[in-house]
Amino acid sequence: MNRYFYYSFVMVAMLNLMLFVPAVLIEQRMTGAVSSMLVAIVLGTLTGYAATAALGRYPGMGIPEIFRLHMPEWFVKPVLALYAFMFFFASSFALIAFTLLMNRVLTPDLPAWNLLLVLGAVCIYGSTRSSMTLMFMLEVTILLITPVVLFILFKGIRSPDVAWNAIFTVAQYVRVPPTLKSVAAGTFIFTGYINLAIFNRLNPPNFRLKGRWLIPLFGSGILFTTFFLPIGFHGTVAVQRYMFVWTQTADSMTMNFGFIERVMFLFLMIYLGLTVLYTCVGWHQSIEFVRSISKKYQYEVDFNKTPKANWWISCIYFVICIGAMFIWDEGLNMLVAEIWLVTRMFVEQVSIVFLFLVCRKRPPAVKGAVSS
Amino acid sequence: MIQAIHERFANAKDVKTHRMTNSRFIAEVAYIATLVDESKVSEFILVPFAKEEVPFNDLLDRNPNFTELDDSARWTDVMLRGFVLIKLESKIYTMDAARVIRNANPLTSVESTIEGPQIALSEDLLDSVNIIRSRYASPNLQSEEFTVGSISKTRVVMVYDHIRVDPTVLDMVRLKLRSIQTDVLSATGELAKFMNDNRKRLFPVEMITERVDRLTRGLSKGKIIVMMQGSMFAIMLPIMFTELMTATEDRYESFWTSVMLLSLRFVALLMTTTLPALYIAVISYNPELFRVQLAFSIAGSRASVPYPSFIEVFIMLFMIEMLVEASVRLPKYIGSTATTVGGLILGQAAQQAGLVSSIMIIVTSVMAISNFVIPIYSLSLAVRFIKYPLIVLAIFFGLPGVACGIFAGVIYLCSQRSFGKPYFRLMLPIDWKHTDIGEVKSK
Repeated sequence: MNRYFYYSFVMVAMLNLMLFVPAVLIEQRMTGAVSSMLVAIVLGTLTGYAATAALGRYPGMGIPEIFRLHMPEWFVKPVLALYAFMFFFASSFALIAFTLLMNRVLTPDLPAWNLLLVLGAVCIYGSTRSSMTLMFMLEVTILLITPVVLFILFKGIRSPDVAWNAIFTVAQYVRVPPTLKSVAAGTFIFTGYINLAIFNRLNPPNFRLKGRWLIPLFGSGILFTTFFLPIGFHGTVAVQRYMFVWTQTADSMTMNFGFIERVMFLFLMIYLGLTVLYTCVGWHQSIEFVRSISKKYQYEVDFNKTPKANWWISCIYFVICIGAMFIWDEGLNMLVAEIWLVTRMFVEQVSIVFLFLVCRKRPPAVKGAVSS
Repeated sequence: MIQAIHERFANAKDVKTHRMTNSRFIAEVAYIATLVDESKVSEFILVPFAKEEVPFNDLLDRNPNFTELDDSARWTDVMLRGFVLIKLESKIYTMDAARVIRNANPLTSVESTIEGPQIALSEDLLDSVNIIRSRYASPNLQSEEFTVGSISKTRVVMVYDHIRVDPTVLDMVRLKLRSIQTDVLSATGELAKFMNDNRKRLFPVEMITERVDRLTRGLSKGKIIVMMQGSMFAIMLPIMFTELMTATEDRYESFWTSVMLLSLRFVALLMTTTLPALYIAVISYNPELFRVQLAFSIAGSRASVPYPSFIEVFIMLFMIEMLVEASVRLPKYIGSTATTVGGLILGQAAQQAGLVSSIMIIVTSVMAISNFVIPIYSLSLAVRFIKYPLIVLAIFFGLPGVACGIFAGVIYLCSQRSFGKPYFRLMLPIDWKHTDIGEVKSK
């Protein structure tokens, strides 16, 4: 089960490599992004450790079940609703932002909602599956995608076009004090552990999470790459001119001997898979949270026949996304991203601290008696 | 007894009945002559009865070939399966004298290997069980027998290693076999279909094979084997997708060769499903995907083609599917002619006439050949199907459509369960498994 935790961590980190995190960070590259990233690494690692430690005491139980053990019902219900919304928003936002990007770059002659139609259909299908299926899916997709992403990153770092001077120049702004926005953006790289909120239900009773030192190592690697590599390619000032900075960065690389010369196509296809996967996982957890609001709901980690409720909730999400697509554009995207990143950080940090305190009260020895 | 049997088989001319007497007994014998080996009847019944070397009632009691049958309602059943009924002193005995017409010691024909065992299962159930037992000489091997089909009364045997088998799967299979309702059961594929919950499945969740080495290997891994009378193919379950992609030969060859061949097969799987769809997506939506020289040469070869790429793809796919279908259905001798005519001449002519581009010919043949690389026939049929949804997605959505289609395919595969077991996942060594996901069940 260890590996499944790291798959979801890698998924979130790699996804945010491309979406709004670099945009926010690069915007503030001279006004505190570098020091914020250092703060984010510490903060992200700490919350990651706290969350996994807290949830590790309750293998086989998701957040809804843990909260029900300790909290009164009037408190649990709104909190679960909030979480459902957060998961829904995070994944739908990624989906919409990526659809927009894809549409601008790859298929400018098609309307954007056309693309969202097919992406969303896959997301509906994926998110209604059982938790177990989603885990298998996560594994297969990550195993297929990660080598390619690492290949692209490696190619970028080794590229002769990278101006290391520009990177060093920006790195010298490390003494500027951190800002809230950049810290929030930086910690988003580390949030892979929140997927345990539901998927902790699948953990076996003797589950122990090993190798947590990978969290800061991998997270900071991704974080530095997402920030510095575009600066190296485009220069300290010009880097801000791009709307989708990582697409342009990928487009700056060429595969001289490949069928496909432009790395960007490879990058887009890989990230399409990653975005759809992320949305499936996010919607699935959102659905589970919504259904857990009812106290009578008996969850199942694996089922043969998809419950009707899953279809309905997923379809509603889809309709909301399609509706949002009509008013969405890049400006709104950036604005929402900034507000969203900060809100998300606060909600998440508070929940983790809260969860950690709640879980600390109970000795782990009695857990078998309650869950049966 | 003779009276009753004649009443039950009113018009059957081949029901033979005898009333015999010797110095001590009067016996009655009944059997269906066409189902029975009559030399066995005379050797075991008629001759001993006439010779009287031992008292005939002793013989019936002592010889294990004869078993007593109390239930008169089962007479017809038993006779239809090739048994002889003997009545002696108001007791009824049966003896198995069935004569089954079958192919003798067949060689593997569907899944051939170069250096593996060449004998396949037999169409006779007993011979098949015999082959398996002799290759898997373990006292843990158990077999259970079922009868399926209200008219055909086909004997179905389930074989498993009772120590290694998963009991929940075993129960499920038993339940499925008992609950099958059909008139006639004629092939293993039909049986496999009846055993599935979901009749509208795309990928096979059980392996239909004729290879004995595959079956014995499966037994040692705790799989269940279901065989039926009259078919030289057995069902093996539960199964995983990757097992359908391995050939038995992978075990017999050196490690790196097998790794190479296996990865080759997966590449072939990807190519046969995506090539036509990618062709459409690239030509019609994103010709800038390829490097410029390649894009030009594709455009050049398409210069004389007067219609959009998807019509081209449909023409060629239609042709190649016809060819494959024709070469399966035709007698062997005409089959090769059909392939030559269709493949070589039609393809060449179509390209020269400007109906399809020469790149499309290459795409089609690569796709067709890659499809034949898949070792299990039922999987290769399923793979033949899934390129069509991808083509439709490519027509309407271009490259992102194809990528989404592939992703949806992965979701579909992951959501499949083979008799309650995961169908598509990464397997790790056993010592890692003790902290596997999903060991906690709800409730």
